[in-house]
Amino acid sequence: MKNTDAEQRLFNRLDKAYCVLLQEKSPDKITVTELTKQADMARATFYLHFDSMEQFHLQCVSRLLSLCLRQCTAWFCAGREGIQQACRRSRFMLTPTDCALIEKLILTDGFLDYFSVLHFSDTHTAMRIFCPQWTDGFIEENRGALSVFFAGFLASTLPCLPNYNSRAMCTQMAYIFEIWEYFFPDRKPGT
Amino acid sequence: MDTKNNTKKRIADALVQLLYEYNADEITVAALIAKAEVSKSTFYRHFSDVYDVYDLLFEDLSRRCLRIILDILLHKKIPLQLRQEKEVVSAEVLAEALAFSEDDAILAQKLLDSKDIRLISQLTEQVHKCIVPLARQRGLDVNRASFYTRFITNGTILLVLDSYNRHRCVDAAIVMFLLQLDVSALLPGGVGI
Repeated sequence: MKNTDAEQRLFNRLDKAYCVLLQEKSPDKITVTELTKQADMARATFYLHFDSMEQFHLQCVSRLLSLCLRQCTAWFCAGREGIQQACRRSRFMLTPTDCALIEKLILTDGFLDYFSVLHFSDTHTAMRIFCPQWTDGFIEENRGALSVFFAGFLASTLPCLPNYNSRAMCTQMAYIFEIWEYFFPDRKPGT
Repeated sequence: MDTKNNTKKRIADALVQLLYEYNADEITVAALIAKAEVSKSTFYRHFSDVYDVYDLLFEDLSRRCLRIILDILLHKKIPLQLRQEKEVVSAEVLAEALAFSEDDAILAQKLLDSKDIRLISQLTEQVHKCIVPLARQRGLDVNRASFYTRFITNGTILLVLDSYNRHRCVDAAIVMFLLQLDVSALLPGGVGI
């Protein structure tokens, strides 16, 4: 289902409000009333789109995780040649609100759960989403190395997203490519 | 000095005992001093609250985890015999191989329960601290060496926590890979630069 622009603006407003409220409370303590009041919106509008606060929260986290993964994939697939271009601030996919939410939601509360439950039924699926070019045979043959690489990549990259610094990321990606070349000398990243 | 450490240890041990039955947020100072058989004033001389004791325990655990990781990764002390055909390594085998005690297990369980990436970062931060002087001593690029190590340890901890969390065991392909991984070749930027 594709969201219209108006819907998108509405979701942005809710995200911003959620972000403000999260500065004071944990996610499970925030009520629909508080959220809609902060977003200056009628409760009924909220319920047009979501059944409950829980559903809103899950949708929010799911969207952020997809975004993080898309950003990480883009950096990885850019390869050595394209990484400088790909790390430019103008190409950064996350808005300041996204960043603040990631810091408060994904990097703390049940981080691993979100990754397991919402996105990947297993490591295999995870790696297919991360790099669609990898074939089943390649993944199966190198399951150990790819798992360590993938987890290392996420664990090193995700905490850098909230305070994004293009130059630091560029250096970090250069290290990551070196590690990749060490693991798979004959294969370019993202192919 | 010795008695001081003994008291601290007694309080910490008492907390581990209580953790078998309760969660950290259910444990009060009163319950703790009753278990450790120390007075309230003695407790407050050493710690400011229950979480202070908790931190001490985790620091100790992560220091020992770190030693294990370094042993395996850097010194190639391989603690377990793996049969190729075996698909997974059970938690029991892993715990036995790493000489984890039952007390460690309960602490590790609490660590798993919290699933906070910052806790993982704390653990890897300790690895990082050990690697920097090592790299400096060998005249290596400190930033690169510490990033490599952090990458591997971050990934390893995340993977092990995740797969343990889901299946209560660790994929043998991962363990095999880690055992074969030569971090010292990675350390000097071993790709020929």
